[in-house]
Amino acid sequence: MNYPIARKIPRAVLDAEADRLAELADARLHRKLGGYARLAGPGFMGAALTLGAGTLTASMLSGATFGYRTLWLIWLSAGLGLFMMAAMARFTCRGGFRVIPVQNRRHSWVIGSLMTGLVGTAAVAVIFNFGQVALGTHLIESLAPFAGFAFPAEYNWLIYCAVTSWLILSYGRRGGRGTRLVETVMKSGIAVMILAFGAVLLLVGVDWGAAARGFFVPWLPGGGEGLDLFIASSAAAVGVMDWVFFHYAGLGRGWGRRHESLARFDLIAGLFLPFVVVNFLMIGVFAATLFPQGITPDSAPELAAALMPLLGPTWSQILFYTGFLAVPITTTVGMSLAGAMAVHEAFGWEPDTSSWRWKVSALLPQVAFLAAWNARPVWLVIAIAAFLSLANNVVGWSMYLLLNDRELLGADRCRSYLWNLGILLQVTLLNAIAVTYVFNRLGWW
Amino acid sequence: MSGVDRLLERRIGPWSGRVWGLVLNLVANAVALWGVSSVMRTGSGWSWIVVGSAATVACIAVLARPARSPGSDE
Repeated sequence: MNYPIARKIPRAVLDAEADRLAELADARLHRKLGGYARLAGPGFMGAALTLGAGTLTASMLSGATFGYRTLWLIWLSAGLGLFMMAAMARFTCRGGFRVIPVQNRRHSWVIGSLMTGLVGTAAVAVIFNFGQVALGTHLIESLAPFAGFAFPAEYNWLIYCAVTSWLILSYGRRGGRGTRLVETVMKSGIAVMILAFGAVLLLVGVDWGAAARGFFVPWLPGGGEGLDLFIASSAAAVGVMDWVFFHYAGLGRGWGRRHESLARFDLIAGLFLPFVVVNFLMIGVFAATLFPQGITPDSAPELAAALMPLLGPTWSQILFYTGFLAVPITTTVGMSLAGAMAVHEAFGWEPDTSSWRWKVSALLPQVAFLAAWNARPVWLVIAIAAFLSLANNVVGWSMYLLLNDRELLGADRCRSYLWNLGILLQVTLLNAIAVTYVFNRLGWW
Repeated sequence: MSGVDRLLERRIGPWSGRVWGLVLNLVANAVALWGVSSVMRTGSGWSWIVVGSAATVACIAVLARPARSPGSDE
């Protein structure tokens, strides 16, 4: 076991899990699925990380602007992302190595430490957390009047940061129990989102015929807008940070060769299904409410505010806001952990969750508390967006090459044409993002 | 191992054939998107789209071949 966070888990706990997996291997399907669901974790954490303010705002906008017609993009984008995530599971379970140092060794530190670790994960965690804090504090502010008092964002950020910081610092502590606590909170967060948005969707009603058509029949708006929407949606659902986080979260759970089936189950049940269901519900709510009225506000708070009068009873508004609050909280926790893991790998530091170095790097994204005053480092957002657009595809190349590396993985390298094909389709879409970004800057797009 | 498999694994200059394939794929993607941008702006440029798309499909089809073991007949 070469990841220090896993070394804190008592041997007896790891052995018991391995025995349980061996039992489940021959169990009936329903017992197997139930057992895997209890043992899974990193996939759910990945879903909770991915389902953030940006993803959900895109879904809300999509529902309000195009109705149900872009539902098919959800499963396509999440499905395409699974091929790369399966590669990360292979590195974790069979490779047993830590991917960023291996990238440094085989593809240079520019691709490993810089592009994958520092920019693709750590910087993204800091920058994107501004959006999470802005949304989270706004939602607390919106919920407070239902309890009969005012609690503005300028003050409630303290509660938001205290709760998320406590969860972030619990990870990897108390002999693995802290990790399970964080995983349970992330799973519960997803459950709250599904229950809340599902109840609201039932309340506002679903046009099942239109929803089914939107889910299975591809449609895009005409011209450049359609191509932009397709490229951005299909490539961006699962990105570098998700790859890195799933890999290291698996290593942190002590996953090895016997865990690959569990890892794949976790990818489908923990990452893919929650991603598809939550986005489906969110698009459905806005397709059923704002779309028929032609209302298309710009930001998540405006979208939520426009929805409120259409929800009717007070309890449904509270339900929607509560479910929505789980979105930024779980994403802040996931991104902060991913950032800390990436910083340690990029600088070659051994991760010790009780060290000050870990605590500082894990809490670095909390500088986003400034978002409670609408402060956003715009120049930094632009710089990171540019670098990400141009670097994501190269990191994707690196992962594809590692998966096909005979010297590195030996007999455990990719042996499937279909698997490689899926990865290459995602890499090609990431290439398209880089190219359209350059064309855009040159005024050609 | 077929000729294509050998080419993918062979070192050509600084990189392996697989890396060169990825670079070629990026160029093909750019050519196709240049065609799309040209069609949107001027209404012409379909040939760029056809050439770029065909090259993209060819690159992906070749690069998706898994690495074979040296000397294997897989």
